[in-house]
Amino acid sequence: MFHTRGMRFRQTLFVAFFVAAAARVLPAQHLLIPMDDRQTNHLKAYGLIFNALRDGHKSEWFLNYRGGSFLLADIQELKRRAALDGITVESIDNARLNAIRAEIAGNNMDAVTLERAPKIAVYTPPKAPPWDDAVTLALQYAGIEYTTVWDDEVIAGDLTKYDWLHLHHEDFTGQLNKLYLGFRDAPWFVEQRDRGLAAAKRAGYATIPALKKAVAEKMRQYVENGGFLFAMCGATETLGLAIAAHNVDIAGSFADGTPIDDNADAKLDWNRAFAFQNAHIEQNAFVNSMSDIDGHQVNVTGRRQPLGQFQLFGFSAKFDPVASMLVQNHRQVIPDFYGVTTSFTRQTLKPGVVIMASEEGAPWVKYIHGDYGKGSWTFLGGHDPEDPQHNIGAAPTDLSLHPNSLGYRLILNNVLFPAAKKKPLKT
Amino acid sequence: MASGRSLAAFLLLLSVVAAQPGNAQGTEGAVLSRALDLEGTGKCKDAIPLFRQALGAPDDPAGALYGLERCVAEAGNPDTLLAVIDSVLTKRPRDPVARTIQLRTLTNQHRAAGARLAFEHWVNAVPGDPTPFREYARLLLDAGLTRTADTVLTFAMQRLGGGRQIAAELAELKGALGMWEASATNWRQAMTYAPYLEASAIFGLGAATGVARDTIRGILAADPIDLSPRRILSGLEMRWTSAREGWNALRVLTPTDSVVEAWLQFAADAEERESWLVARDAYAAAISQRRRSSLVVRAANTSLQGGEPSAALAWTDSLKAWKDTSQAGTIALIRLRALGQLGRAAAADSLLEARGHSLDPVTRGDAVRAVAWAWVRNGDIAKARATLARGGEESDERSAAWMALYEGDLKTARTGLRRLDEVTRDAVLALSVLSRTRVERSERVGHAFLALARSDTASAATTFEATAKEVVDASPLLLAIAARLYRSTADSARSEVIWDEIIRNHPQSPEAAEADLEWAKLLRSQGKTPAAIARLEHLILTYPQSALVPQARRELEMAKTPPA
Repeated sequence: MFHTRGMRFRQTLFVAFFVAAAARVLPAQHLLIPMDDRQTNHLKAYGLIFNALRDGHKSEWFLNYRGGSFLLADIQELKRRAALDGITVESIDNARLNAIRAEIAGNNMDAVTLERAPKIAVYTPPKAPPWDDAVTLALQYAGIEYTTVWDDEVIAGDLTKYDWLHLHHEDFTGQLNKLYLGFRDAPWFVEQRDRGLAAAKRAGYATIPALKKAVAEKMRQYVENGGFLFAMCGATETLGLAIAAHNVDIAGSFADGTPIDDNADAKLDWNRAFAFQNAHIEQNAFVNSMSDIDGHQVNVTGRRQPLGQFQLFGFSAKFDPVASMLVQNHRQVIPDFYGVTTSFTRQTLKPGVVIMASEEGAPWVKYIHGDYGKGSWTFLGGHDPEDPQHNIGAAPTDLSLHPNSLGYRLILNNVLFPAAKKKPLKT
Repeated sequence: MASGRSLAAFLLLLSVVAAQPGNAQGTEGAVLSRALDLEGTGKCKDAIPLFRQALGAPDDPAGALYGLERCVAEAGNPDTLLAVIDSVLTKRPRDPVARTIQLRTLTNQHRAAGARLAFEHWVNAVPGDPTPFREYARLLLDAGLTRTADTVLTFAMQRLGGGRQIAAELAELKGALGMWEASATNWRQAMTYAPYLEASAIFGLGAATGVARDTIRGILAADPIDLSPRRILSGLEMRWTSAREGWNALRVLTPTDSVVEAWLQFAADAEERESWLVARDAYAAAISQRRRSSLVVRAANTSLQGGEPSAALAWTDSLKAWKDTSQAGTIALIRLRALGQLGRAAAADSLLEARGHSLDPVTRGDAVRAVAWAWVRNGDIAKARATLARGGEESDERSAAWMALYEGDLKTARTGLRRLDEVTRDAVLALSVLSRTRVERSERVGHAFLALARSDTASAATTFEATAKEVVDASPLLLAIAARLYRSTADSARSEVIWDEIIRNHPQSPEAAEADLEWAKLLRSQGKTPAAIARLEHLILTYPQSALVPQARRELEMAKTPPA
């Protein structure tokens, strides 16, 4: 008996010793990429995840856990990439991971599996205009692959090749952002106009507004058929206007040779639009505004509103994972930034639109999302989160100086969100 | 008697009558002074009624109006100012100051309709005068309202029969719109009536980038070659490229008094920017028109500072014929230093012997040290020491510390150099070596630094490399110095061998990360991008705590990004 007990004791001791030794010797099994203040380069972290997915690795997005952290397998190559890019990673073992999962289960957090890198298209002219595009900047800095598409490709139906489409400051009303008066002789404006006219001619349209309407319709169909669309700046407002104006002329005579329909407001078909309704077209060609959708009206003397700061809303990670993914950040209050369209007035939003960020007490919101057909769209007002007053001709933002940018994180949330594994809705 | 009394009464009356307006003016002048005093002491509220009272001056109410505008702006009630301006304009509808203040106040308050109306009234009050258009356009441009400014200036061209009189405002507008060709043309036109706006033109056009700069250059350099456009071009080149290009814009001007003044001003600016040889060329051009010894001395000094001692000697030689002894001390010092830089120590010594007695003590001390350094550059430390001793400068701390280093007395050099506040490249290098080793004596280290002092880079590189085997505790640093020197002599292959040695044999030294970075930069410059990327990745992954990691990441980004 004593002998048996002693043997058992020795066996137990041996197993305990072996487990303890193994725990010391075995490498950590997982890499946690924290996205709170401990992260040294938030923007590059998105690139690390995207490229891991592209290479066939799986990842998890821990919504609301330490600023929306990510989990990857502890693979030497991934650690190497993280080190090269200056991304903070924490090696964790199963026990630590289990503790994290327990914390996630007991709080307003959730773990979303990221399965594959989405195919990304950025709608941008072959020769970029003198602004820079915040999304292109973010993608390039994070090292995320994308393809550029323009009118020819959209009209040819190429959008079906992509999971995610980004638009920036393109004017889908075809009025070239009403810059005719101020910049009519500027070489880049002339070039932009000539390029638009050539594209219209190739596609069989007489004017740029007609071409852009057709492009906008293709984009509407893309979302309706399951695509993800992310738009910023003037593209948000003008895409909505162009889609709603499929049967009415809303372009000034300087753009298409015919005046705006006197009854344009009444003829707009908002049923087809993604986010907006009941907006009023700005009929004056010399007033640099498209409609009353934009709350800030940055280019209109006397209407321009000062910049404040906007607050991200909190969502239930378990019941509303999509909105939660889109607002993951390490701060909830973000300084506002101007764009051709800076914000969206509450009075022009459709009832079902999800508001994800707004300025307290202001009649406008900043960041909105919604489903449309089988797809979804997300709109973020403003041009460049790190250049609040961005002017034409200003030098592009150097993101290596803003590796923890709050605003740019919102853009990159949108890039990863289509990578999420579809879950059955709980509500 | 009666006639005398009546004459006196008449004169008295005359004097009273004559004095009256003067008194009124004097009173209002005193009121204005008191108002300005109050404003100066921060009592704007008390100053406002006095400024209003001073507006009664019959001639020029400008001082009172400006004062009132400043104080009302501080008090924050612009409507009161507008009421006062209205009353002034009733009496003086053409007054440009009152009109400008009215426009400024309305524009600042974003009362666009009111400003437009005020502007139209002004235009109607002074037909044919460009001032209202200029002032209003400037205000609008300052407020960033380029579209409205465009409308105003288009209207001005219709009313004035062209844009010549408002060229400066048009230039600003076009610049704000990125229409650089038109802006440069307008600035050039504006110089014909407002050359004082050169600085504004440089500021406005300076923002142009890329090919727009060539367009601007073409317009400003076009015939006829005039001073103002050339000065603008020169200012732009100083900002965009270099002082040399700035000088190229000016040197082609036909010399006149104004042109020579412009050259001298440019030379002084270039001197301030330490573009010595460009400054020297500008002085030389000015001297060809104005023979002044002070200018020759500056030309000689800038030649010396720019590393052309022979030219400095030639300039001072040219003064001999002038028999001007007013700057003998300065000239002697320049010559001594020039001879020293040329390694002509014996000639410098002779000059010191001949002219030393005529120098003041401070200049003489400088001269003695200059000759001693000439001997150092000759490699003769004994004569350098002897020169210092003969000139009573043997206790000069700086010289003593450096001489000790050159003689291999590292202990004395370490103590001496640490006491100095010298931050030259050589001093920093010397201190970095001395603080890295505990070795007290090494003639080879002395020789290496002496070779550097003699500008014998190739020999210095070889000696530093050899020294690494002798001074073992500073070995990686000495190797890194050698690699850097080889690189500067274009022997980059040897640099690569040494960097490789540092990385392999001294991986824990701070120089290992530096070797990776320098090697990567060299490889990039040679177009060997994959190899450069490998080096940078090695640095980042092997030395994650190194202060060079951010720089390596930056280099890595650039290496990975294909050129646009």
